[in-house]
Amino acid sequence: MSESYDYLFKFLVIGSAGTGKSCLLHQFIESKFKEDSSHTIGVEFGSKVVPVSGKQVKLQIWDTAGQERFKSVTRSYYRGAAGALLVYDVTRRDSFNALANWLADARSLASPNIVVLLVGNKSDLESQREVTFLEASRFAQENELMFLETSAKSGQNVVEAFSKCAKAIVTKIESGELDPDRIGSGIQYGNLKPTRNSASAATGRSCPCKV
Amino acid sequence: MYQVGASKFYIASPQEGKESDIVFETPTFDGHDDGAVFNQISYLGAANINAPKSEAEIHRNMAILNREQGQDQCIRVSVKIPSCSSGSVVLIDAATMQIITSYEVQRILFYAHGIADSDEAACFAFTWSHGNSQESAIFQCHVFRCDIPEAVRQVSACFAKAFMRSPPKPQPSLMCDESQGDLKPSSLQSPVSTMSELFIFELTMDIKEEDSKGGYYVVPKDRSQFKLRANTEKQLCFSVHQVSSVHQRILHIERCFGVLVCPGRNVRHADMRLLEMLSMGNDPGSNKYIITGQWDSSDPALESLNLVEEPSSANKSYVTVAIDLVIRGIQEPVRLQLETKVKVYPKNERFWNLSKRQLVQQFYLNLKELAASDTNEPQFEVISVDTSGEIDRTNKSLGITLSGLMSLQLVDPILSPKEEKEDEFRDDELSDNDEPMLSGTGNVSKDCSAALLEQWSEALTKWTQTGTRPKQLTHLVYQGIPDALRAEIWQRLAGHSEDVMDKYRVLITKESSCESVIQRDINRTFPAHDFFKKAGGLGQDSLFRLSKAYAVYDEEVGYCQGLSFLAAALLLHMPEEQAFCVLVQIMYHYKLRDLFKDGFENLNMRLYQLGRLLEDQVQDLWQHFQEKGVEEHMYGSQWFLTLFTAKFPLHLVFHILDVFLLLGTDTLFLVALALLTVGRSPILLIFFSFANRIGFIRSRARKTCCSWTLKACSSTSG
Repeated sequence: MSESYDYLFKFLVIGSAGTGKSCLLHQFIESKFKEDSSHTIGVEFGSKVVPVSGKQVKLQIWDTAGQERFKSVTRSYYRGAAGALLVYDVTRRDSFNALANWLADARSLASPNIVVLLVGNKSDLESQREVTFLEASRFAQENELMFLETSAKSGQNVVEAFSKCAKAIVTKIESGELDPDRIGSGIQYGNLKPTRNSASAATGRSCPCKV
Repeated sequence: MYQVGASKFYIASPQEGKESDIVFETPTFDGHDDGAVFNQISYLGAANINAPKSEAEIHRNMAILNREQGQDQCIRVSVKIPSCSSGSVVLIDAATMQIITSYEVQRILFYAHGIADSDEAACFAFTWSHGNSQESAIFQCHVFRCDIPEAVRQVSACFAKAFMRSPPKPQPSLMCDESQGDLKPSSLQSPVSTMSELFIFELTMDIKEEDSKGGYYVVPKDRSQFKLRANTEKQLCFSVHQVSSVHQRILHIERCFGVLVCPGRNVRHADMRLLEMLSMGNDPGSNKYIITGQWDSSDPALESLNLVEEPSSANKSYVTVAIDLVIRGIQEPVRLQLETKVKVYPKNERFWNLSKRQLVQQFYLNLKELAASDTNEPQFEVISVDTSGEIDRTNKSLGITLSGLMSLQLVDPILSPKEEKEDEFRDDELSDNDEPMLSGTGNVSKDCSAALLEQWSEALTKWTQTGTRPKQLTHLVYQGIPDALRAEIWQRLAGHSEDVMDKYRVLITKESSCESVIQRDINRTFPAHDFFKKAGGLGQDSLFRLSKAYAVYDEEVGYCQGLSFLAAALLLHMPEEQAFCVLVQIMYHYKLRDLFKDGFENLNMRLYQLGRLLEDQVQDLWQHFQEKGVEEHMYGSQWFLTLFTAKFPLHLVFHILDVFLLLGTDTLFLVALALLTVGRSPILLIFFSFANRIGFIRSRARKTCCSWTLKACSSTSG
């Protein structure tokens, strides 16, 4: 039996290689740090239902490979994503400098309305820090992003990052700013909510193995 | 007692009474008293035989043994031949009357007597399979000589009777003998009765339509659907033949008394329309029974098959078709019924792509033999008729993948069937989130049988002598290269050049712009393997040097994430220099580097090809992927770019490399299709659940696959 939820959001985790994208996903889903993590080729998947503003939201998360040359492969996953975590490593300035490119890709390939949350990962490595909180906040503000610093190792702020992003999407739906019925919104209705004229939701439910 | 010259016959079976020239006597040894005993026989010995059913081979062995064994060296025996097939042929020492040995009739493959007027006129022989399974069976030809040549005729008659008669009462019967590795599909293995016997029939169906000139021609059929035209007269043509049965029993089709058709599937019998029979009979050129029925398109009951579907409509209509056969020996009629997809086009539609695949299905007739009547003809009662579903005869090439790669060794031996069950259900519930397998785990067995090593050593010698791959190599590699030999065989298969090895020593001294990237990935490659676990350890160091050397060597590709997994798999077998040579060969000679070039253009082409192959060969799965929006690159990119090395247990990783080095790039498709194909077959569920556990198609793709498998299983078994 699949679990019940009100909405399903397609999420992306993007950012340079080695910033800890897969570890963030693993910490979010399994609540533990993945010591023996291998680098991602192509794309990996994960999903979890989280409570957001009184709703059950299923996040379907696509964890992409970070190496620059894989962009041509991973770009195809951007389509129809409702939210994205844009990850950099606070101990590596190059990963921070690359953010503008990643963001441009996300906005142009996914959806202009995609809700992006900037994540400064590895906050536990304070002594090796190269990017300050203030600097990153400024970047987030300029680009209208939400921002959190996290540690996939300690688990600090990891769930918050995903939840905060999901919450922003729910808020946008409720305010009417986002229309889930629009094609490519990256949002589907779940099995708890009465369908309103939604073909996509109907096909989604017809199969028991729907994700 | 009856004497012919110096020889005596003893016949103990009461049925043989009419043969009045033979006197009966109860045998003097303990045991079954049912059968005929022949005295004055010499056992000439046994010889191994490769063609146990070849009469010529048996005669050859007979002649050799008959020549070699003089009167005094051979063993003097009495031979008891049972009266039915459940018994055994017993050899009794003539001097002591002790039983020497016995041979079950079921395991006798062939009997022959010596050619009249030859030196072997007094001899008879049979071949028997020793060993417990078909694979391990050794066939031996046992040869005997009668002191009295005339006795051979009687012996032959007794053997003939023993082969023909079924046991009088239920006993572990011939067709349930597991040791024979019988032909039954495993799904039918639960015998309703031990007396049931399986007969397999193959049915081929064509649909023909009338053309403007009044002739009939075969309609196009792609993959699984026939393309029909509305309001056009049709003919249904069937061809039925028996493909196998245990003990070669042939069932004779006497006639067909009905061809029925009905739109839809799961139809009621009452809704089936009887078609006008045009012809039926045996095809003189083959053993096939041919039936043709006329389909009146104006029949109101078939009207729904005149409704043209929207061209874009994905809906497919079904048609249920049945033939009723009268088969000799079976009292009730046997109905072979099948369902097939059709798509209806306008009457004037023109088809450009005239693919005409025949619809082939097998039917498994599970019959129960009724108590022997007076007639010689066996009588049967139908227990069940099952069908295989459509058989795709076009993808024979996949055979090697399925048999070669899905041998039992793929299945995690630690899992008991029960655990797998639980695992499966667990997967179904939380499937997305269970932990994927850590890259670089799994034990690799170092064990290798002496016999296998022997075969390899033979192959290697030949390889060295001739300089070309020996013929038996393919077969050996499919079984998996023994771990002890992998380093050598991989290098030989890849072909290497000294030149590259020398270059390596220079390359490792050079700097690369990718160094920091490589360094970051090094401790993320096969992290679960001891060899690569320790930062700064031997494994990570050589992996770093190897990856860097390649990045320098191949400027165009440089370092690409994914390569390190392949490099690591090689390093687990051989020193850096050699691993580098094989890596270079794989990249250049086997063209793996093409995948990485030009923004993965070639990769995308390969994935497209995979998609087409999937569409063609694992159609249901492809369809399901389409519906769920699962695209090839979601699971295929990682598979192809790492040559399947990143996320599978190591014994599988190595075996895939074995096959890749043997066959080349096609292996990418073979393995991918094999992995996806297993999902179709409930028999291989065990593998699939294992695959789920290691997370080989993660989350969405994997779950879709998995549920699909479960669905397929439940619908098949249900």
